[in-house]
Amino acid sequence: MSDEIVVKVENLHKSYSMGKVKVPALRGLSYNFKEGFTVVAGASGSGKSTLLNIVGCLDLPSEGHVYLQGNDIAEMDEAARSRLRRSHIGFIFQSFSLIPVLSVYDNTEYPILRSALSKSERKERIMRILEDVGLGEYAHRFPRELSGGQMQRVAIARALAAHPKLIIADEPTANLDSKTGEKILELLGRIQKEQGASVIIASHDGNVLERISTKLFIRDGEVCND
Amino acid sequence: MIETKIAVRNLIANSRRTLLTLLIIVVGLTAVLFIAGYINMVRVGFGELLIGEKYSHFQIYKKGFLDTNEPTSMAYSLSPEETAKIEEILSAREEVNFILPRINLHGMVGTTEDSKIFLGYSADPFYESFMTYGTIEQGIKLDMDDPYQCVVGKGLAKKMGLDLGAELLIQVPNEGGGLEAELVSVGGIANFGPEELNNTAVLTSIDIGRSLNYTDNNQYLLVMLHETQYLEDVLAYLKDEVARAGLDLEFRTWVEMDPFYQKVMRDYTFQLNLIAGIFLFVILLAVSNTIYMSIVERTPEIGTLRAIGISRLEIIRTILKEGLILGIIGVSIGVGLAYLIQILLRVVYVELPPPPSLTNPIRLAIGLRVKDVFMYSGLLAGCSTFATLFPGLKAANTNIVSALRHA
Repeated sequence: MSDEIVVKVENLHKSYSMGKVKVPALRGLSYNFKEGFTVVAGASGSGKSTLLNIVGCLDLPSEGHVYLQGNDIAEMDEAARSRLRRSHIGFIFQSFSLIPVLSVYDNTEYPILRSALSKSERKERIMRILEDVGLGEYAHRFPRELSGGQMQRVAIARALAAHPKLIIADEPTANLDSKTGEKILELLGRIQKEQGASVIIASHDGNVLERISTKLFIRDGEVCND
Repeated sequence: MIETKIAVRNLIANSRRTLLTLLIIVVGLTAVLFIAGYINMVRVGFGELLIGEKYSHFQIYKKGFLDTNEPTSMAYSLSPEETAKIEEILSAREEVNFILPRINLHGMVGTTEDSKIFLGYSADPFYESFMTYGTIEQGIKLDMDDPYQCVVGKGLAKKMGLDLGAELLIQVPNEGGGLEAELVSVGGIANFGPEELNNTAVLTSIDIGRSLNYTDNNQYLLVMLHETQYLEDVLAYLKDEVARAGLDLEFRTWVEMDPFYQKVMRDYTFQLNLIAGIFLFVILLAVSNTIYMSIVERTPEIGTLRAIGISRLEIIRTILKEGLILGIIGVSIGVGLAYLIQILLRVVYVELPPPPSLTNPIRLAIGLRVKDVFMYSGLLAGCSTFATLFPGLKAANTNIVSALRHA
C-alpha cells in the first residue's frame, strides 16, 4: 500500500439537533485515509456512518476540514459536491439502494450517463463491470428479481462505473449472510487491486476486520486507535 | 431519456394512483371541451337562427332612421333610386344571396266584429320566403302572386276568430294624425314563438306597406349572404362603395341588433372559464397529491440518486416529466373522448327547445374548435406539469443522509 493520502480529515466535529438538545456524533476527529483499504470500525452510534457521510460529501461537518482531491469539501457548494460525488466517489450502502424501476444495466449506467463517454463506450464499460461482478447475464433484470448478494454486487458495479478514486462502503455486508458477505469482500478486494481505487468501509463485522489491515477505530466520535 | 424512463416506470409502478389522476384529467378536459364545444355550437347555431329568422346578416338604413326611435317612421326611408344603387353595388359581390326590402307596421287590425293592436312588417314576398321566421301552421307564407294576402300570428287569429281567407282591415296612423287602411285577407296563420308575438304579429307584402304609407320607398333593406364568414368583407366593401356613390346610409350587423345574443355569449364564456378554472384547480391538487405521495414513498430512492451525484435540477426534471407524461396521456384521451362525443351527437338526434324569441328548435351538438382544443389541452397539460413543481422542489432539496436512512 502507498502512503499517498486520499482523504485528510482535520478536527472534525459533527453534532445533530434532537429538539433543543445537540447530540455530538464526531468530536474533533482527525485522520489521514491513505490509498488502499481502510476499515472504520466501532460500535453502533460511534460515528462511523457520520464520518463516511462527511468524507463522501453527503453531509457537511459542523466544524473542521475534509480535504478530498486537495479541496476542502466544507467550502464547496452543493453543486460542486454533487459533481465530485458523481465523478470521484462510488457508494455502496448497507441496504443496496438500487433504483427499483431501473434494470441492472440502467442502475449501473446511471452515474456515467452525463459523462463524456459515447453510448457504445458506456455500454462496453458497464458490461465489463457487470461481467467482473458476475452479473453479465443479469443486465436486463430488475432489482426485485435479484437476491441480496446480487443486489449488493449491482451496487458495487454502480459504484465502479465512473472509475472513482474513492469507494465508500457503509456496512456493505450487514444485510447479507456470512457466505455472501465474504464473497462481496473478496470482490471488493479484487476490484480494489485491479482498479486501484481506495476503499473506505464502515463495519463492525469481525470478518471484515480480520481481512483488512488498515483500521480506524472510533469510539464516541473520537479516534481510539490508529 | 433515463429521466423519462424513470418517470414512466414510476407512474406504472403506482398504477392505481396514476389511473385515478388520469381519470381526473380526462374527465376535466372532456367536460371543459364539451362545454366549449356546446358554447361554440350555440354561438354558431343561435347566431344562424337569428340571422335566418330575424335580422339577416346586416341591415341598411337611411342615415337618421336609427336615431328617430320610431320603428315605423318613413321620414328616413330609402327611395327606389337609392335601393337600386345599393342593389347595383351589392350585385358585384358573389357572397350576397339576396336583398330583402321591408317596412315596419304598427296599428290596428279589425274585422266587422273585433279590432286589435298589431305589430308587424311588410316585406317582399319572394325573398321573405327564404327567411325562416315563424312556422306556418295553416295556409302559406306571404303569397307572391297576391299582395293582398297576409300572415297573422296564431294567438291573434284565435282571439279574433280568424280563419284562412278571413278579411282583415289593416289601419296605420299617417303623419297627419289620421289613419290609412287596406283590406287584406288571411293567407297564413303562423307560430312566431313567444305568446306576445303570436298575439300581435301581422306580416303583409311590401306593396301593402308602401300603399299604407303612400310611398314607393323601402324603410330598410335586409342583406343575406351565402355564409356568415363573408360579413366583414362585404360590409367593408359596401361602406366604401356607398361613400363613393355619395349615399348617406347606416348599417347594423345582426350581432349589433341583438344585445341578448351578446349577453348570452358573454355569460356562457364566463361560465366556461369558471368551470375550466375549477377543473384546473382540481387537477393541480390531484396531480400534486399523487406525485407528492409517490415522492414520500421514494425518499430513499431520491436520496440514492442525490448520493451518486445526480443534481437537484435532474431530480426536478424527472419529477416534472411525471406530471408532463400524466398530462399528455390524460389530454390525449380527453381530446379523443370529446371528439367521440361530437361524432355521437351527430348520429343521435337530441333536440333542445328554441332560444328566447325564436321559433325553431336547436339540435344538441358540440362544435369543437381546434383553437379551443389546443388552448384547453395545453392549459391542462401545463397545469399537470406545474403541479409537480413543488413536490419536485421538495424532492430535490431532500437531505441525502436522512433520505438514505429511510431505506
